[in-house]
Amino acid sequence: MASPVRLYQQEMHNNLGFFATWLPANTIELGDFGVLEAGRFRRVGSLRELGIPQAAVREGTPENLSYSSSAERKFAAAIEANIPAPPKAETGHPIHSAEGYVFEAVGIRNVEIADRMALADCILGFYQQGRWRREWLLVDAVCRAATATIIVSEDSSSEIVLNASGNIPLGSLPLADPKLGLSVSSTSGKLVHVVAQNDVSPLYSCLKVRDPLIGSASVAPVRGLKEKAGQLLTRLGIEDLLQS
Amino acid sequence: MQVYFSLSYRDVPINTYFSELFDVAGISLQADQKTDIWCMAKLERYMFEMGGFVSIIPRRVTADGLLTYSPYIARELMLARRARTPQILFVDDQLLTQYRLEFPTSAIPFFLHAPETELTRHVEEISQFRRKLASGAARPARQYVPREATIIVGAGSMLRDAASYLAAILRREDYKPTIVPGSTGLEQAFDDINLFELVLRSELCVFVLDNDLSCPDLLLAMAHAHCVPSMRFRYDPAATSREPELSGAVKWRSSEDLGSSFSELLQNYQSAFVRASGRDIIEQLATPEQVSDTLNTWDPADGPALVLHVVPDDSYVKDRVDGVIRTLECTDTGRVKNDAVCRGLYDRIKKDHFYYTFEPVITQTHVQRIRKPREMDSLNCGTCIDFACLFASMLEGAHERPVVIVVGTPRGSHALAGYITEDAVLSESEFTLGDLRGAVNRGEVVPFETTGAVEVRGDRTVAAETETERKEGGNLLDYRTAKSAARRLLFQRDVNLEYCIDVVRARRSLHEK
Repeated sequence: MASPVRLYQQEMHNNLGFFATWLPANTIELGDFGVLEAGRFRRVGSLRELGIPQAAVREGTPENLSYSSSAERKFAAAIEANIPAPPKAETGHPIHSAEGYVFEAVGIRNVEIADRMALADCILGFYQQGRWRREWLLVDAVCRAATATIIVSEDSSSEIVLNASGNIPLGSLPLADPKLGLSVSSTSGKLVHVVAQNDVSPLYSCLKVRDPLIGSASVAPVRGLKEKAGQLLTRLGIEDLLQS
Repeated sequence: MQVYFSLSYRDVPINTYFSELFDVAGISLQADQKTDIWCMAKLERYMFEMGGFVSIIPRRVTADGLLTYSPYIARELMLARRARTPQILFVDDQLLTQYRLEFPTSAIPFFLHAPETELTRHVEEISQFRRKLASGAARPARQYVPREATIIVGAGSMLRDAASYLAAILRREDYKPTIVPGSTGLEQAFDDINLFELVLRSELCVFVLDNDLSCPDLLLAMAHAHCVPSMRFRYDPAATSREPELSGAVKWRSSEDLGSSFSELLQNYQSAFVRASGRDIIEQLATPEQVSDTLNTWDPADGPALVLHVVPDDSYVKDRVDGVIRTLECTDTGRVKNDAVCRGLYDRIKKDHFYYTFEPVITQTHVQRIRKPREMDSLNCGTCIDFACLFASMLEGAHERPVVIVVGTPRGSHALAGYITEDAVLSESEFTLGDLRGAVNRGEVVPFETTGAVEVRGDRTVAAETETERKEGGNLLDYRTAKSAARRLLFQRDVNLEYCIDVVRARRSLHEK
């Protein structure tokens, strides 16, 4: 994984506590399971494919998010209000360092599997039946955005020029807002970009079976069912992703 | 013209209002700096060293919604009345209506939220008080021999040894102590005029009392009636605390307890009253100074050691938790129940009317003081980390899974508390800021601004809450806003995570070590 992408992954995890989907336009669904490879989630299957019906989900409130690093934004052309034709403007995104990214999302919300206890039971059952592999990870939460613009430089210096076709002054709306009608005019250098894309899942988090479950049994005080999910499963940290 | 100023420390605005009126009248208000040690002997001493007595008595509302007022102010007022010190009292009008017989008839009412409504009357009453003091009504200073101390001791070798120990401490502090056995009969105690005169001319008396009432108790009553500065130590083999009682009595069961308690009281006794003039000084007065040596310190370089300050078995914690759990009407399970418990505890602490204060000054620069819950209860205040540990203690006591979070911000470090939901799945490694933010986003860790449950003096905020939020909550935050403010803080771009201590996990880790 190139270091700029690594930085993007690290910073997005630090900002929000989720893994950044790589490549950003890849589809990751709740209930998918798979493995991490070179900073990417490689899907193996889904709970549905194992015969488990869609689990109940819990959804957060939509919000807009904007993060960037080492990205310089220039608004190249002014919009004349009296231009009869649909106005056009350009915004340049030269990313000067090897560590630049822009992440803007509109209407992003957290969607997660609601019943973790049942999930833990289910995975344990599969594991005991030999249908679940120890190294598999389960996606238990994704952030779904109504639209998102994500630009990540993979080069020491790169630039992307976007065209705006909407009748709205640049800078007043997020770059992910469809009202801007953004499209890519030109790029230079090595860039990965998703511009004003609808219905993307740019962030996710995943779980795996805890090691002690596979190792020796441990004795703990009896305190009801509390922490059951946490006793069976564990969450992956950013190092797990970066070192994959 | 100096007068004794008896005040409720937390009520800074009303204290400031009256202190300004007294300043204008040329009367200097002298007040006791708030400390963790209640020292009756010091109050008795100043009751006679000041020309008069001024008391401002605002109301307090108990957790049950009842009107009351500070028992410490009540005790000071009783001292002033017993010493027949010229006095002027301003009493919250609602208190005065409800407790008319508890106050002298000369008590003057004020309306807490707008005292200036009766400004003219207040100015006139203060002016009259000034004239009264100036015309010779001011109490003459007590006549005594400086540094002379009398120790009156009950029967038995243990009490005698205790008295010798206290005498040695007094000599070390340049006092001239005289030990007087108080083992005579009651008749003799009434008639021993020489002993009575010795008591009256001593700067300080120390009573070493038996567990049962005896002759020295009678002598203590005489000293008390004459407002002679007195320290009271009662031997009690079943004593569980060496904190001074409201009456000033300190129970002890070992010479170590006795020596520590006496040294602390003596240190406090020897400290001076402070001129209470202006808002800043009145605020400083309310920030408790540490006298006792039972410091509860935490080295901020050792995050997991915070868990030692989470004390679910503390009596104050247990009492509050039991009360909340008993009345909790929640049949749900999972996250709903976790949140109902936390909300119940938060709302309960709101009713105790704590206020936010700063950390006491200590000489050790590498450690931070954390107050114990019982100490907070008696001082009625705490810092963010005190409250974070208090809430973590209560959450653990309620069988929830607490976290204590310490973040660095441009304004300095700040502590939050929170809980981990029972369905949480967390990373096994130490929390990073990203891990914590993710857990908060997924609702697995629910942090809240603990200082939202306590009052902040002045128009101030503590962390990420807004002034409007504080105002809307009557200087407090409702539970929902406290959660929202904590979340806001954690997602600010300029914060860094110093510690996120999962108390249960930290305890396991300590146990394994």
